[in-house]
Amino acid sequence: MEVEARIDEQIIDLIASGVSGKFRKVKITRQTNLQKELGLDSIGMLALVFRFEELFGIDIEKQGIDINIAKLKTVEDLIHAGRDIVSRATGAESRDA
Amino acid sequence: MDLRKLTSRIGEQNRKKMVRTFEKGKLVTRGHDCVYNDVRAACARLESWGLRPGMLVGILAGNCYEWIVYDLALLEMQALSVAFTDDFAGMSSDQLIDRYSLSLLLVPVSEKERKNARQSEAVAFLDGENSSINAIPREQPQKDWEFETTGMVFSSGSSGRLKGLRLWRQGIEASVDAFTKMADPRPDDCLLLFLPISNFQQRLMYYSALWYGVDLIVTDPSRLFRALKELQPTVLIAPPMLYEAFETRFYNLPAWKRWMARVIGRSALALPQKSLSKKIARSVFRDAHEALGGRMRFMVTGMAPTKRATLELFRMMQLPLFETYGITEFGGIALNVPGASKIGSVGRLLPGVRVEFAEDGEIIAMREHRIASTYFECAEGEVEQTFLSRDRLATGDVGRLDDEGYLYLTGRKKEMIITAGGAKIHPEIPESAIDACSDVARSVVFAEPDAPLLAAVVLPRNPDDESARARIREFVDKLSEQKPAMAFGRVIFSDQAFSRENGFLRPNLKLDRRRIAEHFLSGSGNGSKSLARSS
Repeated sequence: MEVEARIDEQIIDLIASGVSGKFRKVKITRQTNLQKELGLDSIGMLALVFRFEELFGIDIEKQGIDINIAKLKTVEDLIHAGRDIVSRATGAESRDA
Repeated sequence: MDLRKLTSRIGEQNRKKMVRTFEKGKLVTRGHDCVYNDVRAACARLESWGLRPGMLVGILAGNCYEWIVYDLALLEMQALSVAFTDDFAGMSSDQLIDRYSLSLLLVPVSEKERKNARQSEAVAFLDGENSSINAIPREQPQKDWEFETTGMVFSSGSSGRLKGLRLWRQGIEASVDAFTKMADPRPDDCLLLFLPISNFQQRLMYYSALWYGVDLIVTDPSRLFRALKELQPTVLIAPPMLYEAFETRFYNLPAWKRWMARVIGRSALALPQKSLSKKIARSVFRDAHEALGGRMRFMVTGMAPTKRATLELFRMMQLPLFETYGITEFGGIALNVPGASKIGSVGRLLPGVRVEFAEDGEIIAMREHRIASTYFECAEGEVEQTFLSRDRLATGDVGRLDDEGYLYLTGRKKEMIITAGGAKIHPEIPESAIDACSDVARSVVFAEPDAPLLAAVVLPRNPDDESARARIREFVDKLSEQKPAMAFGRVIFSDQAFSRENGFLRPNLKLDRRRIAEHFLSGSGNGSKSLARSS
């Protein structure tokens, strides 16, 4: 649980660092809509995913994980996807070891 | 350049010139000799399927190496490509073949269900095994001995709907030559493309790279940031929103860090020793330099207006970002380049391009050959309004030239929304979609300032009915989900009708969009109420 909470916090920090202009005033909750309320466009989402990969040292495509950015609507969606990716990548690593 | 000789030219290129693509998560590097062999093999395959010069071949696929190979093979065979964008994904293979008189339709093997068609023998895989493929023999209305028309593309043009453009070989060649001459490629250059290559500007760029011997990286958007960092391109063409993502990162730094970076960055710019100045900038703005691979020497942006603050930040970071201007119908018009650039302008005219200004300030672009010879599937009168004569094209943009020959864009002749992503939408399209809601009396749509969204000002039929407002918001949310290009953020409700008396209609009773935007989007609108989102 503690690990998951830390991942959630890191993802929320990542999101906050990609929010521009007037959207910075928006309080980020799990229900916050990434595009409508935080102004994250398609490039912003790609940048976010790439920074996520860097932060956790995961190459999503190499792991064979299919992530559909268009389906990530809210902060909650992103947190779930992030947790899933990290746990699958960790699982793959322990299998490889 | 001569598109008819592009394949032979690739064959003559130095083997060290590379094309890099990502395939199944892995980077694949091919020399130009390998590309040449693959194009020849594709030509042989197409020929064995019965394809002949002048026949039309549709390509419906995301960015991949085979897209490029077959595009080059069609040029070599003097057959015509029809590049379908994602907008056509909903059409069946038979619908595409019939509507565009295709002899073949090329699709990725990941879409194998497209073979379940009445004309399945005319559907071939770009990247998979094919058997029993037969091109549909179609008589061409007239022989094109000089291969003047190379194919068809689709563009979201001034009508806001997709329209077709017939491509003119000599215009493509003139545009590629002019842009490349001004960009002045170096032997160690490497160009990265990530936008869909069904978008013709991207193909122009790879024609240039392949003809002039520049390394090329083609990826899909999902690999963009990894490709930038790991493959270290030197030339990048991207919409403003990419560069704005860097600006956002900078502005989200703690205030003291931002202040320090600005002070040091500006001081470095003023230093006479350029190498020292650059070294300092690379150190202070290390994250941005590294994210772009560290070798970037020429980044180009256009497609939508770029914020001055973004351009100034990149100048301070000593990351070479330049604005350009062109339109698909015409090709490149102007470009800022190192040593000849002004922030706020779109640069000097490309070689061979001239402009004049109509009475209303509209830019009329002139060149001996333009990229598109004409439109098809367009609104009535659009051909005549745009293609004024063989060498003159009405751009729809209003602008001016300064004394030093720099071109400035000052507005659009037509009321067009250009989103942060570069999509052009005529406001009447989303407005008629919203007006279809039975609770809506009238809507006016704008681009949300500094955001990739649309904003709608809506006059409900019954302004006092709160439940109607919720229904309208729900209706607009559904529109956003169905059509991502029409993603709405704010819906602002007006309780006053648009009239001449309140200044929202002009004397000719047309909407005064600027006035409405000033009143409602600034948040000062009296009698208006904004809902950030439903639920």
